[in-house]
Amino acid sequence: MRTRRIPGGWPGILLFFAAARLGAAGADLAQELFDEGRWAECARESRRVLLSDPRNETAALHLAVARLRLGGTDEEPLAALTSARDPEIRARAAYELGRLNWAAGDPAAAYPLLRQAFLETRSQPLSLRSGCSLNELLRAFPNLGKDDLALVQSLETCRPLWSRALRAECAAPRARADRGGWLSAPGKWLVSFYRTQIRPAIGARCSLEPSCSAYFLAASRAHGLLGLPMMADRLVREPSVVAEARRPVPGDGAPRFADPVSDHDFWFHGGGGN
Amino acid sequence: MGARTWSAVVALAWLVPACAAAQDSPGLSLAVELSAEGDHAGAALEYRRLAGDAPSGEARGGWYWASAFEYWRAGEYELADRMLNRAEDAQPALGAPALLLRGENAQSARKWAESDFYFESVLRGGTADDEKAFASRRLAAGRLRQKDVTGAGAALDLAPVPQEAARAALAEYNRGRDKSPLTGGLLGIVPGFGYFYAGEWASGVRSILLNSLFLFGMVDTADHDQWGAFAVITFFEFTWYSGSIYGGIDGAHRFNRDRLETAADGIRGASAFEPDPAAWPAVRLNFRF
Repeated sequence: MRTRRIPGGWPGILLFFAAARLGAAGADLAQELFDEGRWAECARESRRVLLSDPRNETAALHLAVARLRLGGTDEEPLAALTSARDPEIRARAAYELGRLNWAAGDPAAAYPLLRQAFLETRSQPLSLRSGCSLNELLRAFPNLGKDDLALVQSLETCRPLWSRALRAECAAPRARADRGGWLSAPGKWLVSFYRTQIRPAIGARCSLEPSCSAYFLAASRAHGLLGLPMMADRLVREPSVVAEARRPVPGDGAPRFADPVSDHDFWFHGGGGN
Repeated sequence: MGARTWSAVVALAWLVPACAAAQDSPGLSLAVELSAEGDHAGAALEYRRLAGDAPSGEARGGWYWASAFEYWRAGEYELADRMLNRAEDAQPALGAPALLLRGENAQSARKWAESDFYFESVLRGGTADDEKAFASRRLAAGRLRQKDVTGAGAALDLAPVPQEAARAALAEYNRGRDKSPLTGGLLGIVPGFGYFYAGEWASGVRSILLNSLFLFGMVDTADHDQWGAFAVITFFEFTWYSGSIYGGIDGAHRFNRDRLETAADGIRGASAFEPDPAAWPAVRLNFRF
């Protein structure tokens, strides 16, 4: 009777595909969460992928970007990825690092990185973002691109593709953080005075969530001077809202009740009654 | 053993756990636990992971539905909608469970016309009595939110059994009247009266007291030529006074909204559905009324 050798390759190949299938599912989920902007979950999923495949550059990129979006400041992982094998990973890492440097007030370091992202990427969304960011950077610091006429010309060619929303997204990081306009300034001064001079003496006394000062700040940010009557109305109603105790907010300490700005401006744009 | 036998053994070792994993995998247990703890977004993510690993379209559809259900409970309406798209792509025969969840999701996102469409679809289809009763109540509540009282009554007519409590809530709403925000604002010119109009008596009294106090302060400081104090007190009195007018308008709006929500809650009653965890990844709903 002829015996046949068991080919070790077959089980190995099947096991390889099984492992690859499971790894790919995790990587897909991490990518989805990255696209959805769910940074905490994306970071966790990317770590899970990296545990089974430590050399996965996409997962490393997702993890680095997610951590930055969550308020981290560690540039090291992104800097390492600017020399990754995959050119798209390199471009994305360079873009994120460029934006980070710009936000940190170092436009000279941001310029070559954004330039690298713009020139290397083949992904249209990243090309648009990096080009638009580069254009905004050069508008703010014209000296940076004065020797690179070819780049300036490329940016001019792309200009019609940049929507208003994209320009707003790619605007200078500091300018983007300053919202509310001049009408909200009185509200900010009053709240700042209350929080630094009065509250330390009398303690936090508001029983509503958000607190009265936070409510005032949000109302004046959203509606300018109308924040003043909204605040007066809030102070007049506060004891009644507490007495009704309709929407308790879970938490430790004294009971608090929800009374957000959205409950009092829902009718501003024709949403009355709903 | 031959090579084919070995391959079959390895393939089975791979596929069988993937299929059986659905029922008692750590992922499912974790999802159920997270949901019970109130971390619905976390549970939704675990169900998404299960969907990614599911061996068949039917199972994938079920897990995506579960994920959508948890995202809906977490208040992530857009993501819930996206998961439902995937669920229906993976399992086109999902039918009423998908429509009901889409309707609930659209109502939570205040997309009334969209939710009407889904609940009407459930009522038109040849579905079970529980599903129809649930859909008719939700449809009636949605139509009422659009101020369509007649349409809400017509929706309750479509239920397979009489919905007495829901009808009583609708009749109660019909008996009452909305407040006019314009009248509230005009009455608010007299401090406190805007609040009185909206039925907020205590707030009205507080508004009268505060405005009287600050007006007295203005007059008194002016009498004593204390113009610095007069300026500060006038600023605050301006705030209280404008607050009284704003409160009159906002109070009327709040009154109308609360009246509508009370009626809609009465129509919905305690009706709700929950998936049966014993049937996962098949979607089987248990109704409560």
